[in-house]
Amino acid sequence: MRTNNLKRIRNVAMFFVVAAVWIFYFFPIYWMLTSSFKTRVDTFAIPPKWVFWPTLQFYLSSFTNPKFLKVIQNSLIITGTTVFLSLVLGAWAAYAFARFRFKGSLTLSFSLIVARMMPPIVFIVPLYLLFNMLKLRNTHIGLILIFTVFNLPFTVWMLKSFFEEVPIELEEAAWIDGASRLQALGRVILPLIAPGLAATAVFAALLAWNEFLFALLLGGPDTTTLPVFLSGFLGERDVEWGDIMATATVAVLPPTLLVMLVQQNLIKGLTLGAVKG
Amino acid sequence: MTTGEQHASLEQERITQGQQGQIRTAGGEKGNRLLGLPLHYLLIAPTFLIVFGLLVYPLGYAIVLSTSNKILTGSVPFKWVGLDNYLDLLALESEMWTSVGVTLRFALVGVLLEFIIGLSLALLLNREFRGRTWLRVGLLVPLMVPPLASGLIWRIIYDDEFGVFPHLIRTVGANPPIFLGDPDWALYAVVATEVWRSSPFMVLVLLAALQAQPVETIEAAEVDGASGWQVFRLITLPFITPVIIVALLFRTVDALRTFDLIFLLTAGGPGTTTEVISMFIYRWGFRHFKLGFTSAASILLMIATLIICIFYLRMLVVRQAEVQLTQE
Repeated sequence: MRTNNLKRIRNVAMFFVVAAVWIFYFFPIYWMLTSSFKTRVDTFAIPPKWVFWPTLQFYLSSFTNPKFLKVIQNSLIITGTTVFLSLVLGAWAAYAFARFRFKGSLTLSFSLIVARMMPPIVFIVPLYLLFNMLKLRNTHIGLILIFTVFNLPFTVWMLKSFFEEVPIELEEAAWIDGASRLQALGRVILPLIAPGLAATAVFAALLAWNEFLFALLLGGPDTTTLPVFLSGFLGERDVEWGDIMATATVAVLPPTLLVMLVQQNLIKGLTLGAVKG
Repeated sequence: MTTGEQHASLEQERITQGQQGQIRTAGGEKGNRLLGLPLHYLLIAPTFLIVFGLLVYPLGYAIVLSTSNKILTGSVPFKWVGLDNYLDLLALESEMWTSVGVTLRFALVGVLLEFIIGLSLALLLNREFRGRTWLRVGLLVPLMVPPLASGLIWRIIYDDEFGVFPHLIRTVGANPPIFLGDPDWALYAVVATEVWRSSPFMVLVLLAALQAQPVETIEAAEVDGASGWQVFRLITLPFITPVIIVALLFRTVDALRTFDLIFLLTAGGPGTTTEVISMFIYRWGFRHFKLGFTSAASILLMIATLIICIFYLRMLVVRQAEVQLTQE
């Protein structure tokens, strides 16, 4: 009888703890979503409204606004190209680090980790001057290059950890059958680590999609990405929160859904392959 | 060479390399070269070319700039000033120290809270209960919110007129501060936002470490009569320590680079009470356009980050040496 009571108390306590965790992590998301469906009057209502008549006006106005569509297009082009480049270059380097031991290989691979640890703001002044000189400011290619450079340490280390999991015997078998090293890489190894490639791509996409500092300072009116567009709302005299929250929802949803798809390799993605999950 | 011979030579090569304790790179020497150049150098060349061009070279440029008085626009004639920028920055009355203080408070309080919340929730999620999987997946959502958007979300939550958080405080009868406008509160309001967004990282990484723990050791300890706390302190904690160090390293360097969140939430204000070092560099570089001075600050930030990385990595190395000793 007593143990039963104890168990019940424990269950109730557990329920409250879990509920508190849900509220802490989800309330802000819930508030973002609902605010994007609230009319201006409802947003500014005091006290805040919990029940309201939803409106789609902000999504409709966003998706019919050519400026917003251009921003989405910029974000997609820049993210897509960045992911492609950092995956291809990253896979080459990762394969070299995983399968060859050569002079300086350790130093070089660890220098990439150091690059990942550096605060991006350290590079902003020289890059700003460099980009001005090379006429790379306010160009897609400029942002793509800089996002790729900041993605590469991550993709190299992540892919390296996947390559190292493939037994070398599989590769040897392909060589014996007459494949060259690169053929074996393309036809045997890469298909084997496809899930790892997908996870790496998703995380690389996330970084490019969310990047703000360089997009703000090295980009310009022709390259406005979603985060820069979002930050621009606050400069306006009349802050339209419905618009902001609708845009924020559009910015947050695609990456979240993508990450849900590659959950298996999530922990590796969060730690450059340092921790297996 | 017949296939058999080739295979034998592959074996041979693998064995010799295994003896040297190297990565097994077996393979025909022929396949390791392309156009007469070693394949591995060709494979890493593109990566390091653009890393060199866009990171190393600019860094060198920043070092050179940091010894000048370069200003982006303005009438001050260019001249070399030696280490003056550094001396100005490091002088006792320099504004930089305020920023360093803010950054350290932001990073220490934030990472500590994230660690405490992260470890508790990871231990919770390591147990069986209804809805566990859902909670684990759900934790991904705040983690995926870009810092910028999380800044916007929390701004409407904190808003002193129509924000829901001050409203809730008012309904219980208290008088809420103006969270983002009060010098005593602003930094902690920002930290709360950061903890909300980043603690799931700690939870998920530490949970992965907990789940990698072999069940047998715990069961054996329980059979021997160890209490729950003893099992945690003597078996679980040492096992997950390396992962804890890695997680703390990542969160610390990320906290040191925080920019988006503060740019959106407070822009460093009120006054300079939330001006972290990134905001300080941004202000001097892109509001006052003092590029030489800003470069010097960037170099100092780089050195500080390096020191912190080395500190954590040494902890990791020491830790691994200890494990090896106990195993022997």
